[in-house]
Amino acid sequence: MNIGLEAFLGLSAVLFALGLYGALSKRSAVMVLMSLELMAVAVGLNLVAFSRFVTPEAMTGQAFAIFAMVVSAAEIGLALAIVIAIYRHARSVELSALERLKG
Amino acid sequence: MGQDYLTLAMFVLVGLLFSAAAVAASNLLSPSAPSAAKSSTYECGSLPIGSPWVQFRVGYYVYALLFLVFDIETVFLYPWALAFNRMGVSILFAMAIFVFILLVGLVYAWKEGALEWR
Amino acid sequence: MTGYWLIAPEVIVTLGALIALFGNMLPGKDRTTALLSAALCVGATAVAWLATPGEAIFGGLLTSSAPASVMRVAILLLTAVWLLWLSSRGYEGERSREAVAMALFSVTGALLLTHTTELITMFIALELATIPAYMLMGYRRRDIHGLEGALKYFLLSMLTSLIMLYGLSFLYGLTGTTHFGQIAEALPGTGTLGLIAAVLTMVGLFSKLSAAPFHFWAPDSYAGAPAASVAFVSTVPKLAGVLVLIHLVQAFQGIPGIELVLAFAAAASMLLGNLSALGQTDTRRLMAYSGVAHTGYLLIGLAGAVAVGGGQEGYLATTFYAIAYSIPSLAIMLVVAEEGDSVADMTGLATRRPWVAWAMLAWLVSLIGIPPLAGFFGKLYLFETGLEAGLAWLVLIGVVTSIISAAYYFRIVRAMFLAPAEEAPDRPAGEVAASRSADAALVIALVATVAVGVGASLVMRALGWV
Repeated sequence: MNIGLEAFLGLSAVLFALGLYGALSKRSAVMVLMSLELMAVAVGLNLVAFSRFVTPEAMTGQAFAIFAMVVSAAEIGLALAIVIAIYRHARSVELSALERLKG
Repeated sequence: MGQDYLTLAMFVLVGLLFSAAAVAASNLLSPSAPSAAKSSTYECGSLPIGSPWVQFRVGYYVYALLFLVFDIETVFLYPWALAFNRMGVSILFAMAIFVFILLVGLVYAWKEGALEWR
Repeated sequence: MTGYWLIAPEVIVTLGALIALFGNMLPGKDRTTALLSAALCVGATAVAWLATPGEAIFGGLLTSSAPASVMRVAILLLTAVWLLWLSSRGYEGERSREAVAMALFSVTGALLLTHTTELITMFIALELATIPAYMLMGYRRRDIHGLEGALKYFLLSMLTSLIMLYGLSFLYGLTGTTHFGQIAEALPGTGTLGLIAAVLTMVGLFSKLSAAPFHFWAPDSYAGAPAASVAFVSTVPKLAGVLVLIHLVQAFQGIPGIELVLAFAAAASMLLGNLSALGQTDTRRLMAYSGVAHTGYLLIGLAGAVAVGGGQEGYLATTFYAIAYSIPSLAIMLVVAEEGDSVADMTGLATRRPWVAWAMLAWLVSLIGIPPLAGFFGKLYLFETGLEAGLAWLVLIGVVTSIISAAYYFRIVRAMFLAPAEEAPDRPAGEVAASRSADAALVIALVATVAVGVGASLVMRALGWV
């Protein structure tokens, strides 16, 4: 008997919640990005787990996970580029105005 | 079901014990005689200069971003190579288009001077 | 046009984007780049129009339909108008060829999005349509406010994308498929988890369409971005987003409770959007809140369609209104990019450039929903489906907030026609340089607003209304 689907979904939910908390509470743009990356990892785990347990013969979930990884890598790359551009001006990566976004 | 969790739990336990034992052993076995030179940051024998939180040159990030592009390309190349026998020649064209678009991006970065060390 | 010809517009636009990256090698540089790209968009329009509806390619990843064809034509023509305008105006202090390339990449994503009938393709196309938009929002690299706005927009958008992706993973896990049609069949049996997955998915799209309560990024990032970028970002990717929201709602319509979620978002968007717009002095902020409100009107159509168990009328009315709203919205932001960002900058426009002021009046009238322009028929169709579905309270909110919206749109009209010259802010170099291609772009937008209004029944028939 194997470790069940629920265990993977539970771990993924915990990771996702941690990432969500970090993304909403951190002030440094880089920390927010790391939290977002954690959420992306949670989603990837979810997809691979579903692929293994729900559709073991088709690779749909694994293909989805690869595409999701690639898209999030591209997004992180662009976000870092914007952070660098801001840093060149302001010498800081604190998100001073992010408080307004928390609502 | 229980057996798998037991394996997992043992891995976690052994991992925790090993790292705790390593730290504890070095604390117990080593003689404690601190001096200013010993407690300074170890940096390959040379004196540490400045804060450890130095800024990397912006140039590094451009290289990192360009590396990322080709890193991601290989993520697609592996499953593509595995599927090649079953899918036939049509996916050769698909991959050629994908690589072509990436190469145009690289040529653009090259033309804009992103590959020159400044 | 059949088979792989269906993706010919995407191929043309992608090639245009790749060419635009090397626009400095063309004779005439950025201006030629923008004009060439506009021409490619018009060419792609012809190919898009000839698509046969109901055909599937790539093993069912992409499927053509009549509403998708109309939407693709609208996306390509709006982009062509924007590019025509950009060819002479450009971005102040920046070269514009990268903006052209980014816009065309975004259009590629938007075009794919109109045909997608599968989750993975939808996700990638959605990201392709929106990621270049972040770059357009932060296009002035030396403007720290613009960059901050772009970063905030980006981080929030990534966050909601991931929430949506989490929802998508559950949709796939619960149903074992990624095709919309099969999801629609399997989803009603999944109970509460299905509803949660559907709501998580819609959070992402609501945020990208700036529907309440996920709209709060829009005013801040619009106000930090160049108005020319806002003109594109707030219209073209949104058109495709509306169509994909329709696809998803069609897949979700069997879940009990989904109608309430849509109705709540519609009411909140109309109320918050219109009331917040009342006090704004920056036209970009005003239009951001007005965009929230108009997304609210769109959602009436979706809530109505779900309430009657999947009425085609509601979905078509939503598609029509998205087109009817985006034309004037794009044109108004282009004028804002020419004249200045604050409402006070419009002072005396009627004497400086009379025909532009009258065109502005027409676009604003269309947004309020006064006949015979496009916006009136759009709202008429939406409110009709709302009433037929028994959502009278929602339609009432729609009518009342439309009247409220006249108040803030009228502030722009007052500045253009009635305000005394003393109220005008000191303008450094008062005159906007005359430009034939920019004026042509505005004239095309004006003609389109009138044509979609007068020919509303023709457009509806093209969408597949019977």
